[in-house]
Amino acid sequence: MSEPYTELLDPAFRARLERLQIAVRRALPSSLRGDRRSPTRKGLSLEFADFRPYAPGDDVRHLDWSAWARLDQLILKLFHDEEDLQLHLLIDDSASMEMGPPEKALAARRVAAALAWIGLRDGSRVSCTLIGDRLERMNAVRGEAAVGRLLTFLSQPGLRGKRPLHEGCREFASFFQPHGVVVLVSDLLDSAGISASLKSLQRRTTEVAVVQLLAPQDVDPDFDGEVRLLDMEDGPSVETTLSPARIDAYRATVKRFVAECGEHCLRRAVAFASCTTDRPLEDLFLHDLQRAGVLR
Amino acid sequence: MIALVFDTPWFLAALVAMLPVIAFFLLKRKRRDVPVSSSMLWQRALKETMARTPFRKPSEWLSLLLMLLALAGVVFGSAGLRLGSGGGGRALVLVVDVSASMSLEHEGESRIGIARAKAAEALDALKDGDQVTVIAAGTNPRVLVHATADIAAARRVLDDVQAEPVGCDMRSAMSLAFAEGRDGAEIVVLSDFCHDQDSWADLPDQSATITLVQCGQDQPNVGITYTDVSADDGGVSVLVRVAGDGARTLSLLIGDALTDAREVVCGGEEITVVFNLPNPPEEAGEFQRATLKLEPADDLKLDDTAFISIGRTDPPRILHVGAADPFIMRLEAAVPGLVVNNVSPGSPDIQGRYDLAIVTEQTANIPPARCELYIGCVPPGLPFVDEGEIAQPELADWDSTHPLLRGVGLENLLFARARKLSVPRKAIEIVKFRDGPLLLELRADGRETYTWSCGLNDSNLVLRPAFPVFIRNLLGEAIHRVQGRSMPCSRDLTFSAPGGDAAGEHDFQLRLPDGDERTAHLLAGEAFTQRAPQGLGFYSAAIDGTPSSELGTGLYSLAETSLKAAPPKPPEKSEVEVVSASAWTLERPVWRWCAAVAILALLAELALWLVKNRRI
Repeated sequence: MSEPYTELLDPAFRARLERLQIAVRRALPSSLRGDRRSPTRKGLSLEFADFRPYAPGDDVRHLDWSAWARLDQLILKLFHDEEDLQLHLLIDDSASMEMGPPEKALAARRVAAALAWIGLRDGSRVSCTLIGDRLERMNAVRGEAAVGRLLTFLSQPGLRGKRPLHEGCREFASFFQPHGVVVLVSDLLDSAGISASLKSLQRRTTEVAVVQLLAPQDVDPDFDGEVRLLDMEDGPSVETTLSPARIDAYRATVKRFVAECGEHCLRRAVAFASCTTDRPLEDLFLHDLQRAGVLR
Repeated sequence: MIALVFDTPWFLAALVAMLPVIAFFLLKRKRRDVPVSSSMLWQRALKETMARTPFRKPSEWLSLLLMLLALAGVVFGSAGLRLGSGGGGRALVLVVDVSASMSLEHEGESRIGIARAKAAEALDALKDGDQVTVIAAGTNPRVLVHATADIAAARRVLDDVQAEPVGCDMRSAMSLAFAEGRDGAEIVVLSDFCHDQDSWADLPDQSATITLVQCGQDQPNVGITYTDVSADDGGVSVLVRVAGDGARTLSLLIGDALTDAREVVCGGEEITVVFNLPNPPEEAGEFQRATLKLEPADDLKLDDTAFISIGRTDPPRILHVGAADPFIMRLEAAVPGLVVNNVSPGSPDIQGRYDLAIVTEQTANIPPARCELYIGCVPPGLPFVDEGEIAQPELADWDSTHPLLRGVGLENLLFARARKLSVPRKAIEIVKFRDGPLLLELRADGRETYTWSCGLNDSNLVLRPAFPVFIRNLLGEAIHRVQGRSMPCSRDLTFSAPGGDAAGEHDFQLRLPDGDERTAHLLAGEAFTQRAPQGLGFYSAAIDGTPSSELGTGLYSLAETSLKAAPPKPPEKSEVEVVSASAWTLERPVWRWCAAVAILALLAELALWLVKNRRI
């Protein structure tokens, strides 16, 4: 049984995340009002946003009487709408995420913890689901005070599942009918390909982002010679003699695979970021995720 | 049949090392287990790599075969593998010494007879499917029977093998035996081993079993091994070499007359005796027969005759008896060097000696000549009967090989008439009409007589260029024919251009007995050598058109001939296994090839490893 994860969000890193927000690129239909200022909609909060000329049918309570007195024109005050954004964090907790060091599963939890912190500070409701042979879900929480519960949830030992990722995503989507932003954190090493997972997650009511994490050993193997490659999940093992030429070929294949995942996400308007677990998370959050449009 | 023979066969036990090598390859190779996040990308990468490579992956079995080959090479080489000779499908090579010494007799049986008997015993041991080769080991070894399963034919050839007046080049004979016999052949050498025993020094790298059979015992033998004739300003000499152990009386007979005798004592080496002829032939064209004899016995049963002749110093002389004829005059012009004396038939006794007499009108008075040609008339005193005229005779047949017809074309020859002559006994028809002879040859009483049954004007032969050729052939036969039994001349003939004051180049012509000519330009004092001429006869030489007086015919030469038989000695070579003093087996070592195979296999395995680990 694996050990619980600790030190998922250190205070110094947390401080650097305070100015970041979850980015939503399009308006997502929602019936609930929340504490998060909508960047796209105008609503009925107390926060002034803008003026516009009065049109018949507008609520006269929002007329700016002082402007009428000065300008003899009927002008309406507009206020920011406050929306209720739900952030769904999906963490791939399959057996392949054990690869490391640094272990992909730990890195995925840290990414999820950081995204959750950003979302909670932003007033979003944050839920967290671990995808393995079964789904382990923490219901949505709101407020900075909930970060402790969330970290506790993420600290639990890994599921080490062998079920393919796309099956877990399909179960999540069909059971929980998510609305809002869905961030999938995974190595995407699913034989069915990323499209199968995105197909389940992409809806009219969701905006999907993908963060791919790969271990250094996934990208640059440190072994050669007579080997039997054992798939950590359910894939077939491969017996081969690894020569330098063959290892070079594998590196190129991984590179192509990451590029293909990025192209596929781009075509489907899915934000995509990929990095290896030996890179500092700060680089991922302060550069890659902002560039990808997951954060702002 | 080739058999595998090993020097150290116990080393073959190392072949059991092949078992763990095979087991190692058969067992699945242990690989290191390495967990990976997903084998999906690895499979994709390896598939792409295999699709890109231009070569198929070497099979694991190839590596196993190379390792086994290398191991086999090391083991067989270490065990000293040799290719020897075994049983079944025998290849027998009989090398029979036919040198002169094999004619020596012991208790009524010659050494060559002993060799024939022992060869027959070897043939008796052969079975169906075996093959035999017979080689005569003389000065120039030759194959008498080439690799045949027909044992009866080989017996017939062996029955005719005789000692020859030659030496024995056993080294060449052995080389020939190895060349004729295949790997694993059995070579049986039948000889008195008088020859040089270093014949085994250069045996080829080929497996064989060699058996030496000594034919004849060593005992005091004396024989004439060489005769020669030479002439110089001092006169004519006969040179004789005698070899063996013992004392004899050496006699020289000219014709049947004893001319000279010497006592000779041989102590195992050859001694030389020179006789100076008191009355050598003086006239051009004369020859004498010299016979050498050893008393009480010449153990070498070969003819010891030499022929002595003196070359011509004057041109050939022709006597024409008949009316002046333009064709005879044309003959004078056409054949250079001729002197033709024309006389009428009624002339008084004609004096002088002539090489050729051409008689074109019937006459009873013929001066002596070596050769006579009667054209359109019959020779007097010989039993020729004229049976009448043949009108427009047609040629039926002719002996194209006859020396008179050399270069003479008889096709499209037309004749108006001819005399039908009855053929005397002993006469030979050279050219025939349907109804009688055209040209007859008769030799009797030391004369050569040719009879041409039609006149010169009764055919178109005289109109053709072939006629002078015919006359020249006749002249050649008249001048150069040698009578008596002859032996092949095996020595070189050497002629020297005059030296001293006769500076510059000299034209040399040599006419051989068969009519061929050799020419050369010689400087003063330079020699011309005719190598080992075959066939006895006169060798007429001319220097600057002047016939040379220094020529003659020799007999035979047994160079390096010894009569002393010796026991055979096997060679001292590491590849030879001596079975007995007269039999040994030659085995070809192949360990070097085994080492080469092992090295090549290891290099191939290394290359295979490099391919697997570096290129792909």
